[in-house]
Amino acid sequence: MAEVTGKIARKWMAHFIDAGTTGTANYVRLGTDLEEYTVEMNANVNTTQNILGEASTIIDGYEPQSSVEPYYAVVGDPLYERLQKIADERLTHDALKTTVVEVHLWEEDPAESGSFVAYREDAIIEVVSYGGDTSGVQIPFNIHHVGNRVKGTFDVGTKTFTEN
Amino acid sequence: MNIIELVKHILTDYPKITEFTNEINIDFTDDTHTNFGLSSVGDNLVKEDILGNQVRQHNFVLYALNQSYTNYDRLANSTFLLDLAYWLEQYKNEDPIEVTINNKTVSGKLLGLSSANAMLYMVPTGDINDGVTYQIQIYARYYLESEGL
Repeated sequence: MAEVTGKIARKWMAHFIDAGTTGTANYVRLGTDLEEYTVEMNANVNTTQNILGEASTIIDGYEPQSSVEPYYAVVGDPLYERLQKIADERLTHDALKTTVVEVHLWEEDPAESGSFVAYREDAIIEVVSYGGDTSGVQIPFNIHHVGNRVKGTFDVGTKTFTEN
Repeated sequence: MNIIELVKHILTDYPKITEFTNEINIDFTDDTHTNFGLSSVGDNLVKEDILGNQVRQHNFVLYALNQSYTNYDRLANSTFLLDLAYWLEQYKNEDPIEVTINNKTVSGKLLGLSSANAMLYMVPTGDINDGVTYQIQIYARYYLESEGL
């Protein structure tokens, strides 16, 4: 991995999602065909004003969410198979649970080459729609981050997360 | 094989090409009938995803000198260009390409071909009996993997 200095190129922040359905994590990197991928923090902001006219603002939580659009179905891609199953079988509740990992590819673990600082979080997959235009079958989906965020390292070779 | 070599190869493989020409030159059209010249006229970035993979477009102009003594000749020439445009649009092979950028070899694949402005371009000598030059602009979209970029 090249040493990253100065302004960090977008490709050095990697986003992985667990596409596994058997209990064993199978992380797939997001980003192909995505010109933009943003995790919206959706902070829960409470602002109150007392009788003196002073404002008090607190943030007591976040509801992070991101949108993967377009997502083109590719035969053999485990993420496609999971999304197709959700759409086909109209899955709900626990069947939509997964984990996502954000990897800082500019922060390599000095103790282990190929491992980088990463954060894993529980998430829910929401398939928004499927079909799309003539460019190919699309299954755009949203990812709702639901907490249990932990810091660790991610090995990009084996695609495994290790909690610190 | 880079995108220029690939497109030349694809055009050479066009089943009807021998009805119209004998050889495709690069950036050069001989002054004999049935001679083709493929000119590369630019390459531009169409979009880039967050992984650094790029979709690029390379533009070409294919020039062909052909006889045009009669309306029959000219209709045949235009029909050839129309057929070629259809064939290019339907070409779906994702042929691999390999390019060198900043001394790094980057692999990719062809995404598709399209064309425009297939028409009589000029009469080189001013006398239509000496043959005329046709052109067709060809656009090749291709994909480059981020590794190495």
